Amino acid sequence: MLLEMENIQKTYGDFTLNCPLKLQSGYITGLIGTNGAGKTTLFKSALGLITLDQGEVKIFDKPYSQLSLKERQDMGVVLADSGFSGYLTIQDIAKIMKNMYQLFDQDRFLKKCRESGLPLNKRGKDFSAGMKARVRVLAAMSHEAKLLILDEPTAGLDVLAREELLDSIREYMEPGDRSILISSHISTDLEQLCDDLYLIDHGAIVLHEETDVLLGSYGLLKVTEEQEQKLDKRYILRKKKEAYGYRLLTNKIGFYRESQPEIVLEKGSVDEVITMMIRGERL
Amino acid sequence: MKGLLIKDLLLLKNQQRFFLLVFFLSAGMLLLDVNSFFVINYVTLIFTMFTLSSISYDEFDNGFAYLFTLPITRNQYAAEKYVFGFVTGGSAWIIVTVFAVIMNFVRGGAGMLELVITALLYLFLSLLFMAVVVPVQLKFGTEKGRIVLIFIIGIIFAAAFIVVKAAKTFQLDLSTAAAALMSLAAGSVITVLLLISLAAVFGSYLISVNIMKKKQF
Repeated sequence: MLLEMENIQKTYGDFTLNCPLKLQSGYITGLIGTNGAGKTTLFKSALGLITLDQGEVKIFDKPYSQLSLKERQDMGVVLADSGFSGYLTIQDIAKIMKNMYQLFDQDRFLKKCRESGLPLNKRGKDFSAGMKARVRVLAAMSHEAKLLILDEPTAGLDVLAREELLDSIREYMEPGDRSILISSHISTDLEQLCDDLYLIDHGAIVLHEETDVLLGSYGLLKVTEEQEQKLDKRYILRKKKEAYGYRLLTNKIGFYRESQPEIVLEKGSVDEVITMMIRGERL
Repeated sequence: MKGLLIKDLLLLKNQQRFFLLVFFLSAGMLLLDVNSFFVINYVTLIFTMFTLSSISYDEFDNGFAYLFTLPITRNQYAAEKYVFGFVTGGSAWIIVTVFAVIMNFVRGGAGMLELVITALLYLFLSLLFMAVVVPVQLKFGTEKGRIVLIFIIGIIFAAAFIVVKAAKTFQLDLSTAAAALMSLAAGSVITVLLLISLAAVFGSYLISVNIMKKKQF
């Protein structure tokens, strides 16, 4: 297991983070949640940036505090709200990284930056949000890290830049022994990219599922009140009142397709699953 | 550690103009034979202070969080701030002192020993200064740190004032004590002061490590 968070707990006022999470080797695991759901707190816990009230984070099968600096070099990180000092240029960052990571490929990093249209001698604070995001991601992917931890790496990027970034992440995974934990508020990004997804809300995990299962087996049933009463609800996870009756979320759409062909069914998208899981009523 | 030092040296570039100004001003003062003691003290302190600016740069825009995802430890970070202060302050001190000594030599070399001893005392003073300000800056950050520093300086002055007052009240003669101290061999006084300064820096480092360990980003 590349990353494992067991029974961790962190409380800020009335917010409590309590998210068991596992990241397997060779996997891209996505983290989805609304703003303030606790994604950044979870990332900061994973990176030892905040102390936990309870529980332990293990990276490369070791508690985070026991990782050697050599092992820490195997991690590449993007944080949503923090990066290298804005007073440094890309050339400066390359010099620093060269002295921090043994496997840092300076020429490749600078080449990638140039290809992305980033000015090498301009200070980071004069960059646009999208440019800053690109530098952060390129820096995280510049030193052959086995584990990438990317908090909102696509924030501030336009559609084309996002696609480019997602492609470069796929390319990064090619060697096969690498893993990525990634969060985004744009669920389509994660739908295309991730092997499994964690849905987080109010500091807790409300759903963990393989992406294929989520897209293939999850779905929505649109039923009248009468249909709802007669329905076999074994595989219904949430329900929500609508003008026409109820909207129901199932994790076995195939079951209802066969047994109740008269019901209107819709295949699930991650956004709909999120909305139903958070806003819908638990059965 | 090397990566952190390089980062701070690269950040130093942002204050290039200011430091060049300080340097030329000091060189001019030494050439014109304005008080060399002042120049040595001033330049050494200014350059030692860059370690504080480097903490502000790290803190800017929530930069600390990312910094500690890099392969560095919190202990290393704290240690690097002292090493950096020592490298910048120490280099400035060596350059200015050598320059002052040369100028003194050119002018006939009177009071050379006094110049060297005073320069050493200023170096120790910079170390003590660093010992006080680094943990304050780490603990309170740039904004609050400034207020806390003013407060600490206030306390030091108040304490000095009370000591002098108390000495007068109890009719102790401080100048005799100072004279007695000066009459000791300069070598041993310097050694003692050096040891005190180094001990202060080490104690300060331990406090800084403790502060960094508790920090949440």
